[in-house]
Amino acid sequence: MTHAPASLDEASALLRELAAKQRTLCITGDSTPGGPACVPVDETVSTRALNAIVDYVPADQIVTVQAGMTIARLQAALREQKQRLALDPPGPQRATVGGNVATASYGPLRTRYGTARDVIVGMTIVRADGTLVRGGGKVVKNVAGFDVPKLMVGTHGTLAMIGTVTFRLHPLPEAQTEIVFPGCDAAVLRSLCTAMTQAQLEPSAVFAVYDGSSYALAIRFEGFPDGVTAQRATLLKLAACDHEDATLGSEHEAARTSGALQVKITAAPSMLEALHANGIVALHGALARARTVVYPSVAAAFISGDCEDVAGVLGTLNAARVWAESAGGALVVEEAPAGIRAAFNAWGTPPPAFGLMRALKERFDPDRRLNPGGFVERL
Amino acid sequence: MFADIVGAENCITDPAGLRVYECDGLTGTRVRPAVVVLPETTDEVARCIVRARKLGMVIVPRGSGTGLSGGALPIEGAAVIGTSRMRAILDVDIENQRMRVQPGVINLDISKHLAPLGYYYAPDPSSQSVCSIGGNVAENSGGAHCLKYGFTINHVVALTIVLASGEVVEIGSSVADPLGYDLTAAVIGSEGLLGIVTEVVVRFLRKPQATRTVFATFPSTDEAGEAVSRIISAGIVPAAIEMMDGLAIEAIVAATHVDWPLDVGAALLMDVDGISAEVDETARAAVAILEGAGALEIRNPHDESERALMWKGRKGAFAAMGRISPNYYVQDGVIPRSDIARVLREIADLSHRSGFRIANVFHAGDGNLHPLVLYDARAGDESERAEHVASQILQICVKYGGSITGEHGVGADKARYMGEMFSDDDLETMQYVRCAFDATQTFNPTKVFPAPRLCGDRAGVR
Repeated sequence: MTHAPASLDEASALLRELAAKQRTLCITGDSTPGGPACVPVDETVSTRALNAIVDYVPADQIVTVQAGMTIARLQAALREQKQRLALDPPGPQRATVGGNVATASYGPLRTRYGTARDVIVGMTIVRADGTLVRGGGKVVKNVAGFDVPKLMVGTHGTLAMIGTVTFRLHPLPEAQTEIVFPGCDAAVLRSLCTAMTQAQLEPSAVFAVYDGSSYALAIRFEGFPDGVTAQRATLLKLAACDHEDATLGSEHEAARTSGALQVKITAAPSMLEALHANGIVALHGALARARTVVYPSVAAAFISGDCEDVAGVLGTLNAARVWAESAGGALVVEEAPAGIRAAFNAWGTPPPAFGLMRALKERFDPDRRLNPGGFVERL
Repeated sequence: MFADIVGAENCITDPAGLRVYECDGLTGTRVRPAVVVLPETTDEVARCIVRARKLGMVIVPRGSGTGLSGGALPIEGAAVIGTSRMRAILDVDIENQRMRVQPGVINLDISKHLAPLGYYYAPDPSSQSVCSIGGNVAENSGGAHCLKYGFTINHVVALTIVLASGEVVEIGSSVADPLGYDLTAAVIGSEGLLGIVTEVVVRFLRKPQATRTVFATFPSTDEAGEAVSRIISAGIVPAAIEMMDGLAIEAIVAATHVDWPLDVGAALLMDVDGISAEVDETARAAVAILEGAGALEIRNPHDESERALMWKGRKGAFAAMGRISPNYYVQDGVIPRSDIARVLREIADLSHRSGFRIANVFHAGDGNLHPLVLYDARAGDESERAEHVASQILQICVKYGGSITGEHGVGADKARYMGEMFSDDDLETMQYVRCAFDATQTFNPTKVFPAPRLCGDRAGVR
């Protein structure tokens, strides 16, 4: 059954009770589907009733928010104070703060601001045994004790339930511009990224949408007006190709949120052409209604679509994973229809430090009741 | 004991040789270890760890020994494993902006190596010309410029670590989004309790187009604190904003010959960096804000050498205290930025009540205070009383919702204050992390945690 505790104390009592009954459970933001390998569990704990801002001090640029609040609602509250959380995961109307942290999901702002781990300063978690635990604090700078909050990022609900998260915030930029270069190939994406670095430009977002033949590259600058204008002028000198004043925001959003199968594939930025040739082309081609978006400076590509030829898709996934892992990257299935899910490991080869991961799991959740089997190597 | 692994010359057991290693930057406490071993490779580190455990010794890891919280303070009978011979730069990958180094590499040497290519490594602790990157990883070191750029944890992407079993493990990745738990986040800032890091992959940055430095003086810390708040509220993210009070300025002027005025209550030293046009715009805006907040005088350095001199003054502030006091106790605490003025007044009250002069020099942008309690160790029980005053400052920080340490670490010095910030359950959860990595508690066993606690045999024992 599904539970929706309305306070941290209720969540604590609930998890204590479920521990006593030895029930397995999955924690969900109640908005985004349960993740790539959500296995059957006894109970579901939803954070939908934990959806308030706990503390917001604009002068400190710090906010503490409950895990079930959606990213969009949080951003709307921050915008009133001309601030923002520098995280822009796809589907902000549905994506919750807790889900974002648990999956380490990100959007184009990753280019400049990193992921959840780079903006989290504190967290309250509910342990598997129901104990309420605080880690970090409400100040930006803090090295007292081990950084349990950052360790929780990307754990897919396998170590603890995220109760509240404290973030550092950034000022809302006064000005922004987005420039789109259509008709690029992978080599151009890479060389333009290198050229921007050489020219000491500081784009806040760089992403490219692939249509099966070429990329449309979007570059966003943000900040104070003079700086944005100057960066734009420099970029247009660097890029000797046609440009449009446009935004690819909706294309990006569609690629990240639609499709029965959603895959992420990574490599080093210097291997962008190889990532294109060995991963993107084949995966994009194997899917019906395929959509692909690439973050070239991160060298992460997200490919989504529908599986009409399941056997063909499986073969392509296998080949792309073999290539990605040989290149030091990974191929992860973020969403999949049942036929793919049953036949293809969502995560791939476990990392060399898997023994440490298992040791952490055994300490935090010794009875393996939190999202059991729901992460790398059926952790 | 270890000579067959590292060579007799790198295995120190004579009292004179050991004396050098009796303390780190926390000089008030000294303990002589049983042995100091200086390996050169990951394999040697692994063999030293296995040998130490066979001999029943605990291990204290040590970088350059510049830490201020006693993280590298030896433990009776311990083997200190130092990384000072592990100074090789192993790989530089310019396009991916990654560099693989051994842990003994000095922080500043990374930026020096990259400077001709136009890149640098962002975290810049004041000790950066002597502190090691391995020590930075252990302490999650920051520095003046972490206000904009973040800490070690934001700039280290992968590590090689040797566990208590002698097993060598690679964690993190040079490539984005490594699979699995973020183990680098667990190890960075773990103060040498989880293992010994033998290779570090750092992410380095392109130098910004421009940097502007502004120096401003104020009648008191109230106006200076207000100026900081207004700059941040204006949406400006300076690379650094440092505050010094009158006493700190007096010491810095005496020690470094910067020509700062002596008859002021506080000064701010600020860097803005980034795109040239934006830096010009924000520097102009910041100057207007400083004037509006009551600045007495505003200076811009004429050239890079004058700028370097100003920063040298700031970074040498702790050592400069020697000019105005025989001894000083460096405190490190954090408060919410908006409470700076209130907290500084409480610290001033504490100074009046206790009779100890307290100088303040700190990272104002992120609320990281470094009050320096000045005392004379030769005068009766001043050492103990000064330390007590310093501990009361931490209580003020905790009262305002801050932290007992922003960058110097808990180490041996602050373990007893952890209970003021964290509950037993919070600390027990941190122990889960420790026990997952080192259930034997071989590494730095007396540090960070206020009370000894065994790992138990539930699971995960390596």
